Order: sequence, then structure tokens, then C-alpha cells
Amino acid sequence: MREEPARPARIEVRDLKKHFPIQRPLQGGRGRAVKAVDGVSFEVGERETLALVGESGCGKTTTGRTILRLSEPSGGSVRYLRPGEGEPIDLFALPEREMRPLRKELQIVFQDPLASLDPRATAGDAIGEGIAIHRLAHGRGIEERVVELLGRVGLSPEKRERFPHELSGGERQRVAIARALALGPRFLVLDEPVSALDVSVQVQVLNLLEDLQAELGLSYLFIAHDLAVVRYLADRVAVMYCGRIVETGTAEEIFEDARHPYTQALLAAMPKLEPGSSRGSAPLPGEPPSPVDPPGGCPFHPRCPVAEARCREVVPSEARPGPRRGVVCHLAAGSGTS
Amino acid sequence: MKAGSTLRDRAPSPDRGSRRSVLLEVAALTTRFEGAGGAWAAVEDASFRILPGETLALLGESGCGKTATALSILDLLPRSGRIVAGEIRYRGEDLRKLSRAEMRAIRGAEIGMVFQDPLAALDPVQSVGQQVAEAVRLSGNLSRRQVRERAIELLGKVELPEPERIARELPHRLSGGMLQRVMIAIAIARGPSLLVADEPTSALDTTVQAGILDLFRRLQAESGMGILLITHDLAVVAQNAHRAEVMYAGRIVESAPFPDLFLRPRHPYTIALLRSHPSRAARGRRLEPIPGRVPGPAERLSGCRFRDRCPIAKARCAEVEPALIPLSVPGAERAVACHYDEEAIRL
Repeated sequence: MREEPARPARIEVRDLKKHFPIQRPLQGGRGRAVKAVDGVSFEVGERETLALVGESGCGKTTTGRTILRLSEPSGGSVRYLRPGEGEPIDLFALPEREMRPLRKELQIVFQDPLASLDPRATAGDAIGEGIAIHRLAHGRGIEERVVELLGRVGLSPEKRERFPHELSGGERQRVAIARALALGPRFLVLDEPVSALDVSVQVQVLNLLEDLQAELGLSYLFIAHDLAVVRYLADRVAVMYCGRIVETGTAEEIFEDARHPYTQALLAAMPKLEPGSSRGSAPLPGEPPSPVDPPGGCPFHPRCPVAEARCREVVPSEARPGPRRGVVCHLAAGSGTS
Repeated sequence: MKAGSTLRDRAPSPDRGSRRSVLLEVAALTTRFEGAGGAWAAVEDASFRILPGETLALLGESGCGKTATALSILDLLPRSGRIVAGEIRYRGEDLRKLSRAEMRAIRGAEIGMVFQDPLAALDPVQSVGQQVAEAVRLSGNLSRRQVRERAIELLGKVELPEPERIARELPHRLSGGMLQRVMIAIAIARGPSLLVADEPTSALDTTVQAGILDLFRRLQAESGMGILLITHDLAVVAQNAHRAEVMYAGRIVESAPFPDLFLRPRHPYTIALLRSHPSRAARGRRLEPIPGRVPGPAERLSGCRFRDRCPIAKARCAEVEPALIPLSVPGAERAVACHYDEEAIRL
């Protein structure tokens, strides 16, 4: 267990919203919106990994992209604490011109490096590009830095000549990580970084991410659907459902003492290797609701095994059973089981 | 708590002693591909059999040959691929001797198929009900009304809610999990005895995956069909398969029933794969990953293909390719392709 991060956090997200308007040009009237992210708050401390988990469509990827302003936010704030500075900066209040120098420190690694890397650029070009653009080195200095970064992610110097299609999936993801590291980041959004990799290679990349965090003091927002991988890497976990966070806690609290029925269902559906172990409960019925037209009350109530009348009518507010623990459920806030 | 969803409820393995009831037997299958980069064997000397009511998993990472094996069985190899040796016997009949038309008649009627991406397999402009009805129509002389009723019955059988409403929807209106259920309805429409499912839940959330795997179990319990389950996911094997053939770089390296494969793996690759699985990590403990990477077809080594990643490899492993040798394990049909498996179990 790592110690609690010093306050203020490296990244502090408050009431983040991202709504996509639905275009209905012929119908006039009041425009509706897909509330992909609808009031999300969390912090990520220095050297801390916060995992954002949930089913596809829950808004976890949109959250990661919106924090970095790769997608314009509809509301809320993201405060980023630069190293050596006392006051955090509100990223959403900055004009793009002032945002640009900060982008070096705020990086993202995607699930599929074959899609995110330029197929015509060698590994060396991909890693060196940002160094040149941000003038972090010149001439031979760029080359030296590229070789150093390749070594840092466990690749030999010869790999700088290779194109993405000449590398394996694991090697490509290492190049994508080296490319992000080239700019000296402090905070990384890791969007399903090992989901596309072979099982035997996943742990290599997870261990690499852990080493880099320890050495460079990085903060990670780790977006993942595979809870086994989350349990391995995360310090804290935030569970998202239908655009909102429904439970937060340390990895231990979430995996050993989940309070929200949705978290419990996710854990129950977690594939297990132990022969004879039972999944414990029936699979979660139905599908996640459409964010266009989410159910009233608690959005989880149509699939919830313990929903009561008030769950259909009243939106639950967050209970805080611990200092950094939150549960958004009428029934589960107090007790460990439901 | 629903009784149908525990691992203990997996149907008992059929008796493998009698050869009489073998549904599918693959013997010494070798399939080669030819491309710009040269020719290579995607599958080499693969042998296994499936009994009625049995789920056999082909387990392996990318490029191990598991999909090429399935496509060989179904006679759906792309132009660049060709079976060069071996037999594929379905109920005793060698499928390789059948004509294209005869094989087409077997696919669908006798052998159903489910693939990873249902959206790619379905027609985007036809309702899912029509597409299920299309499969039903092939099964014989039914009136239009009977076809329609049977299609809706099938959608209900795969546990889609409100099958009559779902039948009218176009594929893009349904979620990935629902589409996979539609694909399963199409696959079982003609009552096949064997279902080939290639990574059927890999693109789905684990919550949805659990429901689909339950459905496979239930359909199998009802109809007694055999299932060839192709997957890279150890947990899917642990939850659903009666047996598994572990493949590495084109060859079967270990063959074992459940739960022996998980309790007493014998091949260093299987052992390492299980040990490096993230779900096996104790909190705060680091896992030891398998070093290196899965070799591409041009990178395969002489002798044992796993030797450069194997902790107990010796000189002999570079010289002699280990054959898949049956083990004398009482009550379990097991085989392993390793010169030093006695040493591997002490790893």
C-alpha cells in the first residue's frame, strides 16, 4: 500500500460534464443531448493510479479525453498542479495558446497503437517528433534521447528504424509509451493500454508502467474494463455507470468490500481461473441504459437486484463512508452487504 | 442466487473411452498459408476430437493457429490458405473428401458457426428477424408463418427480451451482446450437432460475456451439441470448457481436461501463462511475465518453438521438436509436447 498522496492532488476533476447534442434539424423544438459524462469528480495524486472502470458506453473514455481537452467539456473544472508550483491551474479556463505548453505534461496512451501511430513514421520518428516540436532537444540530441527512451521502455536501439507494422503489438505499445514519455509528462491517461495485447505480454507492459510511475513520479488515470488488470495496477478505483461515478475507494476497498450493487455485479462477472469457484451470483440482467434517455431515479435501478420504490424515483446522493470513499446508492451506503 | 450460473453446474464430461460416439475428429491436420512474405504452416500436425455434449477449447495467443484450425474444419480458409495434410472426420465421414456443395450443406445444418464480430456477419439493411428466418427456411418445408414463428421462438431461446420487437430491429439498433445472441440463434436454427465458436465473447463486456457463456451451457445441456470454443482467454476456458488444447506457434503443446489443466499444468508455456495471469496476482505482489513475445510465422525456432521463452530449456530443445506424447494419468486423457515436462511440474 502506498501512502496517501500529498494534497492538493496532481489532478482534481470537479463536476465534469460532456454532453453531445443530438441534431434534429427538421423537428426544431428543444434539442436533446447524450449526457456521456454527467457530473464526474475525482482526484489523482502524485505517483497514484486511479482506475476508471465500467461497461462499454459508460463514459470512461470520454472522461479521459475531456480532461485533456481533446474533446471540449460541457461543464466542470479540471485543476492541474504543475510540479514545483503551489497553486493548481484550471485547465478549462485557459486559452488554447496557454494550454499548449501544458500538453507536454498531460499525455494519453491509447488501446490500439496501430491506430494511434502514423503507419509511415518509424518508431524513432514517432518518439522524436514531439521532442522536435517542443524543442526539447536538437540535432543529434534528439537521436540520443530517442535511443534512451527506447531503452527505458525495454526496446533495443535498432527498433527506431522499424515501422509500426514491423513491430509486435507489445512493441508498438512500448513505442506509444516512449512517445508519451518523450515530453516529460506528469499525468497520463492510459486508455485500455493492454487490452489489445497477448496475455503473455500484458504483464510485461503493466510492470513497465508501474516502474515508470515509481521512477518518474507519474500519475495515471487508468481506463480499463478488465478488473483483473485493474486489481493488479490500481491504487484507487472509480466505478462509472451511465455517465456518473457510482463508487470510489482504494483498490482493496473496492475488491474486498464493494458497497454498490453495480460494483458487486461487475466483480461477480469477473472471470475467474480457480476451478470450482463459483461466480457467486447470476449475471447482471439486461444492458446498460442509453445515455440519451437514462432511467429516472437511480440509473442502475432497472438492472439492480435490490432496487426499491425510492430507487425508481429519487436520484441517490453520494454517501462518504470514509475519507476517500464514496457510494451513490440509497441502500448500500451504510452496510457492507446489500 | 441462480443455480444455473455456478461453475459446478458444468455438465459432466462425456465418457471419452468409446470411439463410437466421436462427433469430430481432427487427425494430423496441417494447414499452410502463402503470402507476400513467403509460405508458412499456420497449423501443424494438430489432432483432437470432440464428443457430443462436450466443449473443447482451442486456447492460444495471436498467431497460434487456433482460428486457422477452425476455418480448416469449416472449409472456409481464405484463398491464401490450404490444408496440406490430415483428416477432418465428422461422424466418421472425412469432410476433406466432400464437394463444395456437400460441404455447404453440412455447414449450418450440421455445424453451426459463431464469430467474434456479429456486426460484420449480419446484413445491415435486413431486420434480425428476417435473417434468423432465412436460416430457418433452409431447414426444410415450412410455411411462411411457421418460419416466422420459429424465428421468434429462436430469438426467445437465446434469451432476448421481447423477441417479437427485437425481430423487427436492424442490426445497428442492437448492442454487441444482443447481436451475438442473434448470431447464436442463426447458428442453432437448424439444430446443428457441432457449434464452432471463434472468440464469441472477446468483444463483449465481462458482464455480457457471463450471460453468453451461460447461454452456451444451457443450449448444450438441452441439445447435447458439441462445442469447439476458440479463445485466448484462460478464464473463458475455466468457466466453460470440458477440455482444452493449448496451442503455441501453430502446434498443440498440451491437451488436458478441466480442471487438470489449471491444477496440474505440464507444459512450461501453460504453466507460465497461468502464472502470469493478472487475476493470479496477490495484492501488491508483482507477477513474473513470460519474457519475449509470441513468434511470428517467420520467427519460429527449430526444435521446440517455446524454448527462447522457457525457463528450463536445454540443448536438446533446440535440436529435437518435442512430439505431443500421451501421459499416463489415471482417469484423464492428457498429452504434452515437452522433453522436460517432469521437470516443468516442479517450476
